[in-house]
Amino acid sequence: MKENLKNRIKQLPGNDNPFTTPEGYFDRFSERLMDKVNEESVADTKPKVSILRILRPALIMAASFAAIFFIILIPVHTIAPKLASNNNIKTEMIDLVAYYFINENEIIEALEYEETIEEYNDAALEEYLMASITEFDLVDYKN
Amino acid sequence: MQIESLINRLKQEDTKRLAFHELVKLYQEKLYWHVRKIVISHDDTDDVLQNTFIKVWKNIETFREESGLYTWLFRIATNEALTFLAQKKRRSIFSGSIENDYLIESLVSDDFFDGSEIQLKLQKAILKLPEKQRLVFNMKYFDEMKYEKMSEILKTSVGALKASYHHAVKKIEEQLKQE
Repeated sequence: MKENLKNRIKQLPGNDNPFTTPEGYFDRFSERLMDKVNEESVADTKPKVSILRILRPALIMAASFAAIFFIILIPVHTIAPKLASNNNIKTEMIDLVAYYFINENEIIEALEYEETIEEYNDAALEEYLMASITEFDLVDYKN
Repeated sequence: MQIESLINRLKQEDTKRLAFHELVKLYQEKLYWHVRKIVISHDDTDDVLQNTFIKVWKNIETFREESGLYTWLFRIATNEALTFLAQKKRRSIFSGSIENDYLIESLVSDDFFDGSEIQLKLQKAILKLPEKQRLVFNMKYFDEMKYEKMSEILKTSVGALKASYHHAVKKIEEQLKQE
């Protein structure tokens, strides 16, 4: 295979370079390249400045919004918990006042009243049933 | 040692410019002929070569010395040349012409092609090869580059490169017999 390749290559035209360049091309190339490098370096620094300039109004606006947000948020966070704790004090005060004006006898009376209502209700229900349902009604219900 | 010193100076801001000038003088011809065989026209080669060196200027800080400066430069130049051709191909496909027609046209119309008729035939036959085979053929046949070096630049195994070269020689031989 190697011999075959060598024979094939021998059949090909010589490997002399058929291409040329303009006269003095390599003498001037480095100089032209350095000019381009300088241009690129300037171009590389320019966009950074312009991007900052473009973004500047947006950044100022964002900073303003952030400032406004914090101006509103800080008082809400500091004053709102105080208001909430004030409400708790108010309800506690109302309870204290209520206990102060109601004496023990009134509380016992109120409890007994609730129990009598319950007893009355059972008796009243029984009486009501005895009075309103006749024997005939019970027979009808059974059938 | 000379190359090591050059790399060190390239990586320092105060010596970078002068060292870069030295680097360009040292490698411009080798890289030019490598790129020229890929993109064919002188003007295109000039563009690709400038882009290659600008990339080197911008990325020298990222260069890792273990790969070798020569290999690194050839790899950048090869990538730049292939990217350039890919863009040209895309445009030529849109304009309805066949792939590689652009390169054959460049060869025929190039004022800086000074080859004989048989050399023109050889170049046309090379241009009909698939891209990778063309690259390998040029690097081996014209530049007489060792497979190991080629393997580092193209990041392809030596075996695959040998096979590519063999296929390329066979196709070129057949192409030349036909004409």
